[in-house]
Amino acid sequence: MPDSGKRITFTVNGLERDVVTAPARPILDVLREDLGLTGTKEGCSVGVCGACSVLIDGQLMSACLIPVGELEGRAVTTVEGLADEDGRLSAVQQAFLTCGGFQCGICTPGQVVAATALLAECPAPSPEQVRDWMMGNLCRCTGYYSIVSAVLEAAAAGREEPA
Amino acid sequence: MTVQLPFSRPEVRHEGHLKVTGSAKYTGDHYPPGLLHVACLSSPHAHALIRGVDTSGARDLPGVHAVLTGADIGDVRFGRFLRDLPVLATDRVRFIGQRVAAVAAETREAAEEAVRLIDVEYEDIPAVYDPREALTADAPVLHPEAAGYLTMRGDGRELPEHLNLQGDLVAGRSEEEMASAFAAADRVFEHTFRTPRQHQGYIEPHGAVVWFEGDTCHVISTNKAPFTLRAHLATATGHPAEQIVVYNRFIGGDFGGKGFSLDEFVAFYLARATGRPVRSVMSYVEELSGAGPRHAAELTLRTAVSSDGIFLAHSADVVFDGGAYAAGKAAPDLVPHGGLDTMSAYSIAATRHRLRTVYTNSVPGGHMRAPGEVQAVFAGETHVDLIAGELGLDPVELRRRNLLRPGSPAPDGTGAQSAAGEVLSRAAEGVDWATQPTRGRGTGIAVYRRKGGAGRGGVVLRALAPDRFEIVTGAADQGAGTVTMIARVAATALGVDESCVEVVQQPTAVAMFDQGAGASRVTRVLGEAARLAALDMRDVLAGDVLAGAVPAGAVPACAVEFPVEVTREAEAPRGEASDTFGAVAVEVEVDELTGQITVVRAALAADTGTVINPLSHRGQLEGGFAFGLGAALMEELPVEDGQVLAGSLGDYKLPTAPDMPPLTVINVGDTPGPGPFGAKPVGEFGNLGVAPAIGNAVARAVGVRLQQLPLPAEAVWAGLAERA
Amino acid sequence: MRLFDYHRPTTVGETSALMAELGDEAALLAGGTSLMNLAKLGLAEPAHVIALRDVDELHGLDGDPVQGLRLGAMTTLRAVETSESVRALAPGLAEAAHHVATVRIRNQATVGGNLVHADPNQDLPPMLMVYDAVARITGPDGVRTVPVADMFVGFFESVLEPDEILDSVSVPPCAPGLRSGYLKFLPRTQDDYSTIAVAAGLQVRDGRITHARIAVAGGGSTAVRCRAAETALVGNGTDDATLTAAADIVPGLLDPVADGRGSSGYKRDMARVCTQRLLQRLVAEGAA
Repeated sequence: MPDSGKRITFTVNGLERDVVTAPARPILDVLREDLGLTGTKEGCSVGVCGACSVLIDGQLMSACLIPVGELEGRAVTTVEGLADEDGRLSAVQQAFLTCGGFQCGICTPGQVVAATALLAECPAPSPEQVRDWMMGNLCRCTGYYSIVSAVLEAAAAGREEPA
Repeated sequence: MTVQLPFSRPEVRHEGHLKVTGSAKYTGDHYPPGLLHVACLSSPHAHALIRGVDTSGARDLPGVHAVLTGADIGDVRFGRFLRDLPVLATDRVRFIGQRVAAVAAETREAAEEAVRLIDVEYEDIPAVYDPREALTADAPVLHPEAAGYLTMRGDGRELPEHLNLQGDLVAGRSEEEMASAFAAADRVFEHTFRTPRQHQGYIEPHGAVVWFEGDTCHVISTNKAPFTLRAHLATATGHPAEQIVVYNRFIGGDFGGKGFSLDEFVAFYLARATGRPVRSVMSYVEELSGAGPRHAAELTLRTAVSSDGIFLAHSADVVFDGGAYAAGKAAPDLVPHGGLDTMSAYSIAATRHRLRTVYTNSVPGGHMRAPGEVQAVFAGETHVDLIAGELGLDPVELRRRNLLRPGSPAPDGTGAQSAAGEVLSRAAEGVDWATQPTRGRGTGIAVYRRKGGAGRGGVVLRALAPDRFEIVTGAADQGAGTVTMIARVAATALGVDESCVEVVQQPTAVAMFDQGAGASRVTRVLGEAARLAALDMRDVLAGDVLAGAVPAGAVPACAVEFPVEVTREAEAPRGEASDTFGAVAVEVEVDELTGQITVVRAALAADTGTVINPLSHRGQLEGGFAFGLGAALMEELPVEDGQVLAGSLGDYKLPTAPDMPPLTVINVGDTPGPGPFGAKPVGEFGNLGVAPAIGNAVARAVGVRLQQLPLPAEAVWAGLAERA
Repeated sequence: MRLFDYHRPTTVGETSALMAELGDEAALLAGGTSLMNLAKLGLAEPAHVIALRDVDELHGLDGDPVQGLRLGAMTTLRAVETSESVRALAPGLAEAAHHVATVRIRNQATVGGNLVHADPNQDLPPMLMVYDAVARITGPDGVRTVPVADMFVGFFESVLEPDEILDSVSVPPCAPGLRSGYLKFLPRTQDDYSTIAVAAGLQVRDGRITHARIAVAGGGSTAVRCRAAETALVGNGTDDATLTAAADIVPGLLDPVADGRGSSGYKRDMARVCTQRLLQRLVAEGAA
């Protein structure tokens, strides 16, 4: 029988977490089932749709494609970690809300996480850069128009805010 | 005239905060204590008899709590209308992907492992994949026991002339009348079109979480029609409906697919067998191979035309590939009704349609955004362009001569408030129709009429205080903005600010009956119920309570004792005049060496009535366009000898952000619809005209005419080679 | 997905020892984008997975104009795409890396994983062939080097023995003035695998082509270097007739598999069209 109980220590949304589990399980399952962080979704399950997008050490990745053993000593940010401690929405979340950048909402956590990663790397993207980056996050509801607007709006809002 | 209402302000979705923070709980997000995970074994055979199932290895695996087969639960069948699909196959499998056994285990991995240990002995029998072949006299019969099948009404049904026929609907004039109409015409045009199976492509797969508390069965489900699901579960399992509670709040995309359920039935039996909550969520492999895709169709259209380009008569013979079961279709005649709308935007004196759905040994067809109509509009609007070409007429001009006009309805009495001419003109202007495109480019157009669906539903409206109202609905939110729409309508009718109204989604045990989100009826039915309830509430409360002059937090002196509750139902009757007209125009560029089609720009003109949620309304149109673009250019669920060849969203490609062209959405007209304050349906609308508009543009750009979907680059390339 | 034991060595030596001990029950894990995908679809069921992220020797991206580039096997495709060194020394490689899937996948997928997976539709191998890149492979008997152009032997099959590890890829300093580029033909969606993709490099002196490389992804069971087409270019001018003649040779060198992205015949012809267009682009860039 393969390992079913290894202790793995990592940080999730700023808090150190300790789980004892099979290190082979995808990060996605551990976040959702063991840690109750169900904001990160499972869609295609093979890295295409982007519903499971998370940041690992600040890098945008697919939580469905990484065994949780790989997380040892690293830091994960999920959609639950984007609003500030008082629950104030991030600029990206706020822009998705006001631009109507979602409908059913199942892809939205992934979209918001992906957009957050983009703006961290490129604070003032062109519409083309936004579309290219967001290519990895499928949305079947919106046709992407309002999502692209939301990301551009968030970028603009970020520029207005004092650093 | 549409009413001027405070709806022009873009809404902020009431549930939006939950969605952008990841707090919205979808079905698969529920992991109650003691949860068991479900995995199912599906058939690798297209048509086979089951000779034996050995589950001993699976049962012995640590962590496994139950393994069920058809033999364990019996021949239990279900379906949206015809109950022909077994929960688990008993003696026979009829398509690759049909469920044969189900496991509940402590972990996902143990459940999957147990499935691998189940040994099934199959005996292959002859299969049939082609619908026309399936209707021949010596074709293998899929359902020899069809005579015993029951419908959701509990009765049997008249057997069709061939046992492989699921449904056979004829509408319109007699064959004799049509024959004489065609005989009298100057020209008769006939063309045949083919459209493929397509998957709805929602990002949330089907699923359910089911548990028992005493005799009460609790079901959290992705099904968008909770009350209907409850009825189906009760009918199939024999469990009393009043002891089934269905919860659903957030649905991660529907597009027609979430009206049909599989997991709830398997999960019911596993939850009962184990006494534990069970979670059954489809993998995307299962989604693509067994969840009810759009029906593939072959459509032959005939139209009689006078020498001056007037359509005199039109007939269509449509054969849908129904797949192995009819269970995914809701209509009693078991055909995708949209097939009737091949040319329903036009005024034609004599029409006749025959729609047939046929059993074949492949994945059963289901509903997908404008079922049947997508196929029909592609065929019809391509047919019209082909006719225009033959007659040497501009496609817009030919359409203009024949479209339904205001005040002159179609022979069936519908379409009297036609905005067809206006949407056509506006869409055409959107791509500068009159300007000659450069080489390799072309413009194309399609126009259509969408009829809203029938159904009923109700809401409970409670006044908790003069400035606090709550509306209880049983409707699920599949993304279109239902909750916000209900709140806005109620607030407007009450004359209070929207922030005073909270919409509460409740399970079937609490909420009033609602037929579910489908047939583009939610705003029409639940919006109207909310409006009527609000008007009743105004009557109950003193006028001054609602005058708007009430200071926040202050309860005015009045005789009313809070809370006050009113309930109202609304119904959209079958055949209601609820036409919405749309037109799509595109400009494409065709790469003459690769055949690649690039949509350079697009315009979607919609006859919209009163818009209640502007952002959501626009979102439905833009999203509908994207949906249509995928269907036009790339989406096909390829099936070979019954095997679905797309195994993931890596194979079945959905459009991505950089694949979308610039789109102009044009709201047209001031024709009120049947919904609250004159609203019109928009859900199954934006996708309808995209494929024929693109196909027509390609033909005008490079002279290659494709009569099947999708329109891949390779087909254009082959057409260019043939032309050269 | 079937569970597996998870190992995390810190040196190549430890990794080799584990591989020897576990034999064909073990699989190496780099970025996970291929292995986890195969495991989820039941196409790979390793009992043991050896994770390479702690093996320092496999990391690192170094480059200078004299030595060329060294890409550690664990270098992510995103690093290749964005690295200043790569952009300066092998810009075509950065361009090809940019075209792999989506940014999320490029953040995970690695150069080593990409090569060892030996997927004939991948974007990096043909471009590495254009740059005459060489793979460095460590096995029980020491180190050997294999040109990337000779690395692939069949569908998802490379020359690596089961007990060998690809530790890095070297890109030698390229021919002076080499112009390189990548053309990925994507008739469906922008995140798709290509129907066909062409990588090419040209060096032009005094109007004559002095050095040429052409390689194709999606053209058969492996990435294919099109030597005959290269030969047709070298020594000739950059006129359209020359480029067309070279492009016309390419289809005959391929044996593409029909799939949802196109028939074999279509892919062949698209290889011709893409080669011609890419060569024209490279010539035009040189003239500009």
